[in-house]
Amino acid sequence: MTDAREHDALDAALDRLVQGEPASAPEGLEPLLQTARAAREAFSIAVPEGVARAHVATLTGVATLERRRPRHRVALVLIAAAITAILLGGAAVTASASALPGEILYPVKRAVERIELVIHSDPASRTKLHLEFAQRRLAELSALQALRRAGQKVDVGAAMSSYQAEVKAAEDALAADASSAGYQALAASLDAQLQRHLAVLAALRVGAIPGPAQVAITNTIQHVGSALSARDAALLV
Amino acid sequence: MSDLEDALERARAGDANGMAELYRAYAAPLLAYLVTQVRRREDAEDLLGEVFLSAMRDVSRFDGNIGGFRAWLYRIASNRAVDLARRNARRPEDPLAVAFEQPGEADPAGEALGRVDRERLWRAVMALPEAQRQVVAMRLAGGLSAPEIATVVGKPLGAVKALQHRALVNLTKALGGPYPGVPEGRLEGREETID
Repeated sequence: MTDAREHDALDAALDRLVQGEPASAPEGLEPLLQTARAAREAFSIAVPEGVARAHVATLTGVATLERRRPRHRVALVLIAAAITAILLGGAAVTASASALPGEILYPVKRAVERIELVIHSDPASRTKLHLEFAQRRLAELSALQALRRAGQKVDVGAAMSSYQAEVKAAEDALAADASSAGYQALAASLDAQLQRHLAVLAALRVGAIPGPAQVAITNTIQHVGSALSARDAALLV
Repeated sequence: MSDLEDALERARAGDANGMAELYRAYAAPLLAYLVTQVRRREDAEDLLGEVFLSAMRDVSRFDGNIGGFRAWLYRIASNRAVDLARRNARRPEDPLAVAFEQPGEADPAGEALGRVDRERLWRAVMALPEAQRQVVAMRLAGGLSAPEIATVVGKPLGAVKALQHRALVNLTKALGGPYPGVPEGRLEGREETID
């Protein structure tokens, strides 16, 4: 069989497989079809219930906001919080505020944050929000480190990446605000906050168990330090 | 009109319940696809929410049937995964962030396939060259047809068929299965890209 004919024959067998029909392939291709069957089975993973509920709540909440569009952002935030509380249960939203990565309510916490970001579209507000979220990630990191020291298995690396992503998003939002009158004040506020973050990160590194987590913290310190230096250099130009 | 086509029509008209139905139908396979692309479960779950948020914002402008909608979701997902990879590349390497993370404990696949086999298979998928991993995940996790994948990735149909063939040869080899004509221990197409 030529390559192209073999590819076509396998493709036809895969079509039947993904449509749930009995699939067979020419003799030489049967091992590949068996692998495809096993892969299809392995890929059938579930979305955790808490994650799915948070996503659907976000979709529903945003759609309602799009329809209503009140004038004032404060009203938007209150409506978003109310919708999310109704859909997920007010207690769930309140309890999610202290949830840590890996806990069942953590996706709710992140969903509420995403709604806040959808509502605030201007760069200055987004800078402040991402900075606030970065601070939350840092608090989560401290809590995770404490759990780790207590012998629990926690994913500090993932939390560190989430913190870095929020810092990066704050920097990007700030850059998008560069032409506004309030840019200098906002940049100064961001830098002051990041300086405080550096102190927290340094303390976390001292207390970290040597290994990948400590390396990740060191990398993050370098990342935040580089961002601050770059902004200092830009001010000197 | 099928239930999902009806849900798409309602989502187009701004009905969030329509989009929620589409979420329930497509979220799980899309999550599996995203895990193969971004490697970490938490990132994949975050991206899954972003993909549907993005779809909901733009669905009123989407002009196609339910099959086209599914392919459109994968295009959004693929773009988001690339964006995330780009953001991660700008960061210093984080040894914990690239660690393999297997699917959740409560996933149904574990019952029939066996946990060890499932983990071996996921590891083998993660070791595939990027283009093969993308195609095989869209095909077998998402259930997209080869022509739909060709549209999503913007490549000729023949190239997609060749990539899925090579991916399955490599997976078969990695799992220790016999496949004639492939040198022992060698992955086919290591250097190819889909871009």
